[in-house]
Amino acid sequence: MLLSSIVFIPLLGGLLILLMNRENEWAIKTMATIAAAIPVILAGWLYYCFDQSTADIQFAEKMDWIPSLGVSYFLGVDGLGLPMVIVTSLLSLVAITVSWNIKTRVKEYFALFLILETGMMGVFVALDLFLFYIFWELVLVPMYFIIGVWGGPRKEYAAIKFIIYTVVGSVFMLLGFLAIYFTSDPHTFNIIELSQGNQFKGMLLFQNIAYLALFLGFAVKVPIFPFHTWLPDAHVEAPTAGSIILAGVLLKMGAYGLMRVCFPILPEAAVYFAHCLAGLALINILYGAFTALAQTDLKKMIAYSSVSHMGYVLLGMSALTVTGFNGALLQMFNHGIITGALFMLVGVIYDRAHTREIAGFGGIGKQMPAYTGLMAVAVMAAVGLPGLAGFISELLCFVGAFPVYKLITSGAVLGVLLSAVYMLGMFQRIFTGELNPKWAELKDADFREWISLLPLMALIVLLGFYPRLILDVMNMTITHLIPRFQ
Amino acid sequence: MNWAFIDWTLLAPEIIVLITALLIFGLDLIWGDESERETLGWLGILGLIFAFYATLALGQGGELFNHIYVVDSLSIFSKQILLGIGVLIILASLDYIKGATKYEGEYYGLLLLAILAMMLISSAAELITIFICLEFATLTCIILSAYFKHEPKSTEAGLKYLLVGLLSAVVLLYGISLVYGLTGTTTLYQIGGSIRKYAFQPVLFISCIFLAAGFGFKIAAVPFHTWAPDTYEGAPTPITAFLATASKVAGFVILLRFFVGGLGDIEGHWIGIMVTLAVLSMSIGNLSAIPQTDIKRMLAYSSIAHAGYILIGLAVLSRESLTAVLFYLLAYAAANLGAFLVIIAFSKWTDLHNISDYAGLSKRSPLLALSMLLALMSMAGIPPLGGFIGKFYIFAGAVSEAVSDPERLWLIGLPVWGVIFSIVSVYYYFGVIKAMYLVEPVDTQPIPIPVPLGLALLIAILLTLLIGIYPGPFLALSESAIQSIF
Repeated sequence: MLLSSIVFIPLLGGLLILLMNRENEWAIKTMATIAAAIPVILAGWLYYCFDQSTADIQFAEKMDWIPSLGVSYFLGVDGLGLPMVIVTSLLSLVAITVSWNIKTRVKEYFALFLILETGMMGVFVALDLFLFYIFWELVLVPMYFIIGVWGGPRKEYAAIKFIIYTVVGSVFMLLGFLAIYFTSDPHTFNIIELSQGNQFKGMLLFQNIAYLALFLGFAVKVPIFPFHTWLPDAHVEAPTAGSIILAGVLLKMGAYGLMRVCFPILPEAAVYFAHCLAGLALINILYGAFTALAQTDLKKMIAYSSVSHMGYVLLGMSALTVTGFNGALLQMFNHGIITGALFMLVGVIYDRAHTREIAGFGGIGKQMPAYTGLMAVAVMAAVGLPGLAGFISELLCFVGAFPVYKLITSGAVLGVLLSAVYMLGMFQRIFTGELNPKWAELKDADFREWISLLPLMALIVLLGFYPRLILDVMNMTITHLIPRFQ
Repeated sequence: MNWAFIDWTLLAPEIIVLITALLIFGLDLIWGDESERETLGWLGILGLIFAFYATLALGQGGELFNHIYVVDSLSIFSKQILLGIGVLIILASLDYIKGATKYEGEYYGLLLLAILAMMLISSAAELITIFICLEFATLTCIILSAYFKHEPKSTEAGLKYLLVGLLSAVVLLYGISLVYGLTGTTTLYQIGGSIRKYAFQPVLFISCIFLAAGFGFKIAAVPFHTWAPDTYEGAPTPITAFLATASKVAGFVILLRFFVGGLGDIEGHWIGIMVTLAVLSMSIGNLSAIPQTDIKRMLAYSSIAHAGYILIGLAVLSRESLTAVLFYLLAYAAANLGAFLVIIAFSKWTDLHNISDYAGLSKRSPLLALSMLLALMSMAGIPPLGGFIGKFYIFAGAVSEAVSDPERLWLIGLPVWGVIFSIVSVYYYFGVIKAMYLVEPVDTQPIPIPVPLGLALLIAILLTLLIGIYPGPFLALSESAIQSIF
């Protein structure tokens, strides 16, 4: 029942909020925080109880749901899912504490956010393709409203663009699921059975078609070039908490889908398309980095840096080596906390200055020393400074990919250089130099902001020194997965 | 014919509805007080509930008048849906019709007769009987569409329905005469047996086209759909809801009974027709819905598109796909009623019909907005609502046939076409959602929900949710219903 609790406690909290009096905003916010805090504690408990010496599914829960369609309610975690569950619970709680300053339609906001958390959590623990799809789509509508109601000036455009792009991907994914279901023998939606049985051995054409259908769904979410154009709009227009979740969790759903569904169920297609994926990864890394370089809007720059950083994940995966996969999954985790922190920091300054133009700032460091320190840690982690979380995972991705794709990896390393240029350039222009007198009134980070940022900062440093906290969790699962691609 | 051998209990539901209708007409005549007409509505509901109860006692059913009239699981299923729809429509009409016309009592009587006609259609198994029942239904629906005879739009609605209805009746009659010429009989079960199998007969093909045209009018499939937008727009809204749901259910049941039940062995003559109708309805219905500004017209086109999805089930012609047809009808009826009930409440209070008038409905009446949201999401096929399972099952049936039989691989095109146009539908459904939630209201006055209508809305929305979350029993029901013809 542990996993069901983690998934459905937020939903329960959301429904309770819907029943509460809309005037009593304090009670609503407290309720939301509690409903988001419980999954964090449970995820910690899950981590504590998790047996790292096995690749099997743990904490499994299985019940028949729609027997005539062969659909079951099947939850469980292994080394792939657990890190994502942790990052999701953590970022959801952070996002909810960040949102305490929401002023309009408070009740709807927190209810939707908690429903969103249920959807995301479900994706990472569902082991039945049908259930996976339901949770996948459950994320859609709350996010639409979060962008569309509480977003920036172009919120309506960004929201409908987000939904259309995602739906285009996911309906083809659904057709792919159906094709897998009806081709498997016996027909099953069970992800574990499908991944272990080598069901489609030798059916390369079928695997390739199914792979492409699924890939479309996941590629939109990651997002992989050229399906990325929804991302800058959605990230920029979304409220701060929405951006944290979008960058921290939603993008990971795409990469997780590739790891959980595409690769293990369709291994021959995964090998067949590995080169293409590596090529797309390179485009993602360089295109995202160059575009970030050109941005004048702080939030947009970080949004494009996400495209670039997700490229490392793809590169690590496409190598189909243990090191590469470890790097990719760790990079997913790290990118979640680092970008979450970055978007949050952007939100902090935007709340005060009501602008995000990088050129409009200057010398903020003197005015907001504590904030500058926090930003420095997050920026350095994003650049990949040794000793912070980002470095380890990027290095693992490169080390894993280099033996397989020498040229592409060499090109991809350029992305690290570029990220140093745009990140440090941004840092310099905003925080150093003469203080723009316009900003002499800005207040430093307050208590609530510290509270929500500290856990992320602590994790960034901790994982920088001791990445085995996460690596050990996923190692067994990945070691068992990789031989399928030989 | 020996009347003593007729099992009149098989006709109990129809007899109860007929007696109730006549009672309403009679009471309406002798009842002096004009203000008490609501009671007649409640009497109608009582009659429908009794009739529903009577359908539960039919058991295995049977046939009457030498297979002219069959009471099998399909017709019982259909009658139960029709009676359920009838109850909800009357509940929604009680407040709507009060004071809107001088002829309140007759309205309920005619509505009951229309339901009776559609119940008869569901059981008719002989071509002349089918024709008479269809005409009976058309006539009552024409009167109801034109019920607000001082409003030009309502009159136009009735006239359009009359003209197109007459045309389709003529075509249908010609098709019937061709079938009679070929087979020498009009009874469905004899027709199937008397036609030589596997040989393609051009005359039979032409008569199939004519019959499909006649039935296609009822389900509003393209190109026999031209009446639907105008009639839906002009008719009193409860009648629009009735046409969009009950008429479609009856139309599909007769389509199933004639083509699948009667001509199931010579499917080569008519599968192509179904494919054509499905593809045209999905494309033209969805594309035409986009530019609509009137919400009832938009739903009219959307209902045309839904007819297209359902027709995929007929074109695939397997046990699963035909079960999916019935299941989809159920889910579609629940969601569509939900949407129309919101429109009834809204338009009764504001007398406005444009999508843009729904701006800020989430603030004026959160419950109406939430119901509309769930109904539209169900129609758009977003999980975990009924419409999603319906679409899933329809597409699953097609994919299943396509991958299991290499000769029918072309069937894969239908679900692909279907999902592409589902994406289109997401766009226009979200147009309404955008207006309700994202746009600020012009008029902030709250909208009251009359108690009977609220009850009906609650039933429709809960059903939509239930069908989505726990579809098992509904699937079982649909499956047992389809067993009587396939």
